[in-house]
Amino acid sequence: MPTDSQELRDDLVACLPSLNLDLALAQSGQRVVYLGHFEDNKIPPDVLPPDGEDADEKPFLHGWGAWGRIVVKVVSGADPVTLARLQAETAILEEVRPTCFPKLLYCNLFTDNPVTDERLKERLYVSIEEFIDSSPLSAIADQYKGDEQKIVKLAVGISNALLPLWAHHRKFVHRDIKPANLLIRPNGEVVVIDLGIVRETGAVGVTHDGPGPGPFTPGYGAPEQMNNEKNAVSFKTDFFSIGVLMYCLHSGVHPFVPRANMAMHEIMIAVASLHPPLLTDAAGSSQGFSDFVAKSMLKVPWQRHRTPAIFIEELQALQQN
Amino acid sequence: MALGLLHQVGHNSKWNVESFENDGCGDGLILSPLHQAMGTVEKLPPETRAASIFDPQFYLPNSRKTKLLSYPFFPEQVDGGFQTSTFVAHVPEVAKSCIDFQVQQGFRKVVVPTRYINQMYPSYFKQQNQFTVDAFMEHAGSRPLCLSVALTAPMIQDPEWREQVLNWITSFPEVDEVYIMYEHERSTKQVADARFLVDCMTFCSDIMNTGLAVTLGYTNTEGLLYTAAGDLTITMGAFENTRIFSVDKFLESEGERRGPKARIYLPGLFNWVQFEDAKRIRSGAPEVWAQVYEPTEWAEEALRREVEPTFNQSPLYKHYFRNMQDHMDELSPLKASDRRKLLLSKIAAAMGAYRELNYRGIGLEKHGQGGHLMEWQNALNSV
Repeated sequence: MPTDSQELRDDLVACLPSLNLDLALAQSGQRVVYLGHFEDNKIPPDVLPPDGEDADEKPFLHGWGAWGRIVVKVVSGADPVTLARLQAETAILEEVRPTCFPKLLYCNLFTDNPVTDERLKERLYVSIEEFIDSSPLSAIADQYKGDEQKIVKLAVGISNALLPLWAHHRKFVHRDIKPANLLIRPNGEVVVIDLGIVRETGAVGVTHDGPGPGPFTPGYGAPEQMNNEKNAVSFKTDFFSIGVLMYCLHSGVHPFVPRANMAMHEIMIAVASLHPPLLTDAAGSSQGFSDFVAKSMLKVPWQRHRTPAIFIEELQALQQN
Repeated sequence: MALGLLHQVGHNSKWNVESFENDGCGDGLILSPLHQAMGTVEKLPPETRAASIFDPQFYLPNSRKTKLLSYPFFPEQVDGGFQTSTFVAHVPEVAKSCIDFQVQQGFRKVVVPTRYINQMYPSYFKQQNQFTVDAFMEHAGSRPLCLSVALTAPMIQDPEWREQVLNWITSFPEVDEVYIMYEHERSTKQVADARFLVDCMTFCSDIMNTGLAVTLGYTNTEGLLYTAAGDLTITMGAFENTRIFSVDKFLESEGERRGPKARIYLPGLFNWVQFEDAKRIRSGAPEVWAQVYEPTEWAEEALRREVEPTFNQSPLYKHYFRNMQDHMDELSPLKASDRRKLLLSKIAAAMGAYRELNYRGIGLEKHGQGGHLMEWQNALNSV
């Protein structure tokens, strides 16, 4: 499992020698995230521009300085089948990716350190995405408190961003909608990050078929996700998380984590069985807003909004009201 | 049968093709859809295709590598993406399409693909049969087939597994050739494991004794040792990932990465040595250099350059291909027992050359050293 260490940074810079790692952003599960940038004048002489012999070959490092600030994600500890699935899903998502996701600039698997010519301790799957000038929703959540219209607009933005994934014939699901994975541009537009796939890569990722919980963020993951009921995980799983998000933003209180320092199992029990107070009572919201959120957070998927179209239509109706 | 040498085609496939067509190195190619789009393969001269086999490379069936996806029968191209549960419904059409392609292109033999399974699951053979083997056998009719199998070292070394593998690969009357590659995990570039080499030689020998032809893919220079087991076909490749098998190659973008320092193959050492180390041997120990280096036009040109070649330029690979062909030309006319003697004498000479370099204080980078030779010697002395 990678951790931000000098060794990992050295390995990354050996593989991508014009890369400057400016800041370690986050570390979760099997992934480390950095902010960085490339400097073309650091490209060593042994890295040549494409010679045109392979029409599919893209420039490596050359011209990457123009990307400006970038986000570097490093995954390790994943088996080849999982990595192939990750690449397959990444490629498909590239096809359907709307503007509300960061652009993927480069990804590759590194197995050797080219400077030492030794095998890396762990194979590193590195992806580089554009940096979005924005604030994470988690940092500005207070600005939404009690503002139904602003919250509904945000939920519409999230839903429209996810719609191509939900509508894809492979039925993608984000599975990790939460404030930390939502970026708000200065003009208020929402950008969804972490398509849920990279996050899952690894021992308890997409290949997890055994007993026990599936991958989820406590408090935001739907009951079927916690229970690893793969057949029940669908776009409605994202509806649940969006409902939780709307509840939190409006009331300032998490529906299933009402007090600090709750243990994981307590949160899981709450998500599975607790029916939080209606928003009309807890935060004085409108009946329509409260009903929408309550329906999104129903424990059983079939009781939630039946289709993405209905989900979005109801949100738009709330916007018009 | 006779010894054979095929190009294990990899990144920049034209290097292999040129080496075969223009330089007379190798008896043919193992074509690689990972590196050659369908249109590229179809444009090869008919004589080149007739001398070659086409490996469909279903080892990682959900790989998204662009060139693999240019083949409509590649599993990830079927039904919107490969899934084990749904592929079974499509495998008959995949088999038909893949076999038709191989027949139309006039390759030497139709290759039956299998997938890479890295564990010795009890259901291993059932999975392989259901994945592709049954359907390919059914659609191939009576034409002779080559079964491709990617094995792990324990599958070859564990007696029970080895027996099951042998039982399986010899159970198809239509198959008269097997194309085997092994994943031998190690931290060294050369196989420095006498026990494994012996087990692999015995494994190949056992297969050949049943009357099946053997092509051993993804071999580094250890492939030469297997000629002591009998008349089989070994391979030579340019980039390291064509000389060491790993499914990682189906995930990497080879052109879009920084490569290691360039190496040159020195046949008198049976090893690849960093180019700058080779130049130090040439200047610091010219007699040793004369013993271990076999000049070729490509190596001479590289040695004359002021700027060192990089790993992604062709001359040092074409030099290797020529050296390997020379090795094989020397071994081919001999009986297996005489090949063993010749190899042992050459290994002894290589060990002497390394000793001399050491004596003269010419240190070599780790992977350019001769640690593998003692193991090779032990292996050949054990068979």
